[in-house]
This record gives sequence, C-alpha cells and structure tokens, in this order.
Amino acid sequence: MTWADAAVFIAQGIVGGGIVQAFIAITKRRSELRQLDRGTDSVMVETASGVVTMLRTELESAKSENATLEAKLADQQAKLADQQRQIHLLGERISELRTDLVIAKAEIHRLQDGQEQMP
Amino acid sequence: MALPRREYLRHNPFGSSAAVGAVVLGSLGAILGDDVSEGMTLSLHATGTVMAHLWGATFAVGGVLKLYGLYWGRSTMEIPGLWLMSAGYAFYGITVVTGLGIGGLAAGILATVLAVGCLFKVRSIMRRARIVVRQNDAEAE
Repeated sequence: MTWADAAVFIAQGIVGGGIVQAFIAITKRRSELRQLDRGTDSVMVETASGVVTMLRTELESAKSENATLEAKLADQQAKLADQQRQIHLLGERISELRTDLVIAKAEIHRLQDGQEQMP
Repeated sequence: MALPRREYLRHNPFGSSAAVGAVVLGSLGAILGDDVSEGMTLSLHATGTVMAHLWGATFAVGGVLKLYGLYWGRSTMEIPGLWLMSAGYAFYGITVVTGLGIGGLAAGILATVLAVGCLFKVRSIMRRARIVVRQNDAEAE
C-alpha cells in the first residue's frame, strides 16, 4: 500500500465518519437541537412582539401629536379668520373716512369760494 | 415567525456560500463521478468512479441540508448537513492533493479549511444547544 492509497483510504474513512456523525446528529442529538430551534423561534417571536409593541407605542404617540397639531392649526385658522375680518372692517372704515375727507374738502372749497365772492 | 431570507444571507454569507459550493460541486460529482476533478481521477484509480459518485451525492445532500437548516431555522437539519459537508470538503481536499501533489495544494488547502470551518460551526451550534438544554432543565427544576 502506497502513501497515496493510504490517503485515499483515510479520505474514504472521513466520508464514512461524516455520514455516521450525520446519523448520530439526526438520531441522538435531535432533542437537544429541537430545544435550540424552539428557543430560537421563541426569541424571534419575542423580538417581533417587542417590535410590534414599540411600533404601536410610536403610532399612538404620533396620533396624539397629530391631534395636538390639528387643534393648534384650527386655533391658528380661527385667529387668521378673525384678523381677516378685522382687516375687512378697517378697510371699510378707511373707505368711509376717505369719503368724509372728500366731502370735507368739497365743503372747504365751497366756503372758500363763498368768502371770495362776499366783498 | 421567520426572518426574511435576505436577512439570513446577510448574517451568514460564508456559510451560505460554502453550502452552495457543496451543492454545485457535489451535484457535479454525483453526475460526472471522478471526472469532476483531475486530482480525484488520479487518486481514485483503485476504487474508481463509484466512490466519486457516492462522495458527490453525500456532499450535495450535505449542502442542501445545511441550506434548509440555515434558512428555515432547523438546526436538526443543519448539523447533519454540516457533518456531510465537512466530510465532502475533506475528501476533496485529500484526494486532490493526493492526485496532483503540489499542483493540488491550493484547492486542497481551500477545501480543508472549509472542512474545518464546518466542524467549528457544528461545535458552536452544539454548544448553544447544550446551553439551551441546561437552561430549560434549570427552569423545569
């Protein structure tokens, strides 16, 4: 037997050993490995559940923040409408005053004309 | 509940690649026999192509079991897959160096390192499994 034959023999032995170990893992180590898989699954479920809870909390906080912002917006809109109404009233008032001013100026002109004709 | 497959790939790039390599090379070995590698043809002259077919089938099955175990979270499949992959890589490493001598060193070293890596992974998973069993036993008491 040459060293090459010995090496191939060892290689064949390794394949045989691997197959045997695989069978041992399936038959004898099954319960340990199943417990590991169940543990991993439950950790993943817990993690997913934690993520869902966190997202729900964030959603609730975003909703309440949104409600606050909506109330603020309504308040600002009401203030804006009030200011627009005041601006409108002031515009009307300015227009009245302008009319009064025109009338007053016309009256002044009329009085000045009257004074010039009197002597 | 399972993680998306892409997440498994992101966390296990080397394991996935080694398993895919095993499936591809093993399938070729199962189909072509010792023609898949010149080193194997030269070294397996005595036992012939039957051994190469057997190796290919074992190797490919190992890769498939490893991928199934990894991506479906089943270490009951991953461990046998790793054992078969380790044996397959070791067989290839030894036969290629035996057949080609110095010319087969690169492939031989690569395959042997992957075989050792598979054994380390088996050890790591089994250690975790034992810890979980111990914790479960402690909780049960």
